[in-house]
Amino acid sequence: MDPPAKGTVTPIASLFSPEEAQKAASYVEVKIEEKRSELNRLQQFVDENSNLINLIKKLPDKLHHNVPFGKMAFFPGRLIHTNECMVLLGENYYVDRTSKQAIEVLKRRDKTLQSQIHSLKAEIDDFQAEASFFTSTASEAADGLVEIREEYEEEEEEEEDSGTVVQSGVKEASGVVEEELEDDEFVRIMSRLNELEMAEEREGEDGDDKGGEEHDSPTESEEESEKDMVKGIRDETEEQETIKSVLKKASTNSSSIREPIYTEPRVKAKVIEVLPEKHLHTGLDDPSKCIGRRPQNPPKEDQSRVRIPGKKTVRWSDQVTTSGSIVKAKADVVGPQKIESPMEKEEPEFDSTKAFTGSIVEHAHNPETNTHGLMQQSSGSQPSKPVSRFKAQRR
Amino acid sequence: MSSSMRDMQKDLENKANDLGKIQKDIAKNHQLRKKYTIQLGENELVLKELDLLEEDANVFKMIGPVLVKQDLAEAKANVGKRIEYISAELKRLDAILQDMEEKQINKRDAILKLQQRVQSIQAGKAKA
Repeated sequence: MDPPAKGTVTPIASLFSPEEAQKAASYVEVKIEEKRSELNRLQQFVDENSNLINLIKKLPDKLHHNVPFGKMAFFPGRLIHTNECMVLLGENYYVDRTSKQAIEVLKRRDKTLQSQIHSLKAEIDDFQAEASFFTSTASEAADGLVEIREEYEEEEEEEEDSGTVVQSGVKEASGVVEEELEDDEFVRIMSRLNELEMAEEREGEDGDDKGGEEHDSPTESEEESEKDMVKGIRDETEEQETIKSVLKKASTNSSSIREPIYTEPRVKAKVIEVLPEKHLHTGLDDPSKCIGRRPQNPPKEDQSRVRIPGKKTVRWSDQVTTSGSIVKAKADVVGPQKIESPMEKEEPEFDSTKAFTGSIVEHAHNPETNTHGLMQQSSGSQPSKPVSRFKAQRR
Repeated sequence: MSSSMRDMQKDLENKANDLGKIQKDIAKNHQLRKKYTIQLGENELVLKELDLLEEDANVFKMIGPVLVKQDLAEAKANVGKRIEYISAELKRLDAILQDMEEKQINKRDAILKLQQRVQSIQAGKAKA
């Protein structure tokens, strides 16, 4: 029954989906009605069954009953052998049973009826979910027609292909928001990045050489405290764990400078999307640090800034302290640019080491971030790639 | 040109008819299967009940207007056989259904292709 309903929707171009989705929805509604009537029928059986059980229970109470004699005429009849029942088992098989045994048979029958009703109800639930999906798709599609956004249409097509209700809803919502956010944030971030990069190149390389091991211990402790904070705010232990593991790996692989970077991502409430992009950049860029940093920096900074507003002022302060400490260790210039510069350096390396972990984290985060609006910002900062990843993962 | 068009139209019609027939068959098959599955469930219930009966229970089978007394063992064997038969029948219907669905898909593809060709030819004509 379902396949035809789905089939009608899938092949249709996104522009025509609203009507088709509506059709599918109404089709499913019809199915639901059928199932409902079936359910009513079964319920009727159950009622009759329980009535019969009650009757048979009462029969052997007396040796004989005075009853009306058939439908034809009302004249007194006598029901004897009150403890003997002829039970129809089905398929024209009858069995002589005492009323007690008959009641047992009836009770077993009741059980099977109940299980049938149960499965039928589950089926109806399924259909209802499907119907709501179709109606939502229809309305969304209709909205899309009015708004005319390129991304939106693409998403719609994807939805239809995937055929899953939940995914489609999330995708559309997130996609639209992301686009809006992207432009403003991106411009700001880019300008900021340029400044930072300049500062970084001058100071960062000196700091890298000097900073080395000294930074590790302070940064790690900071990281842990930050983790605690994060935990308090969010219960997503799994994510934290993954992050931690990432951090550890990063620390082992990379020098102290990188570690502070790791902490920052956590604190920022785990914007997952940022990591994957970084990975891509880093993979190419890592060997040559200078080149790698510049491309990477913009996304990172964007993310960090984006995160801060969305995530809570507390975290922001934490980040500042960590960055501040880092700066001190390096004994270099103090200033907003510096703070960000260490972060930038660290992040690229971090990304390269943990490309996979980052992607894994993303799934968990995405729903949350979308709801909060934080994710959207982060995704917005990373122009085209985040969107495509989003879709791919969902599928 | 026009004659080839006519041929194609005819071909298209024939194929559409075939597809309709196959779809009807599939619907019939579905109904039959539904019937058999219901019977299967009923027979299984009966067998369960018969298994629960004591050895000396009186079992009757209604044959037409009369109740015929049957041996319990015999009744069980009969029901068991019936269940076997029904499940075999269901399997057979499943195989047939699969076959028909394949045919249906093939026919549908053929029709789609034909339609596209007709349309392209018509478009070409319009341009000319």
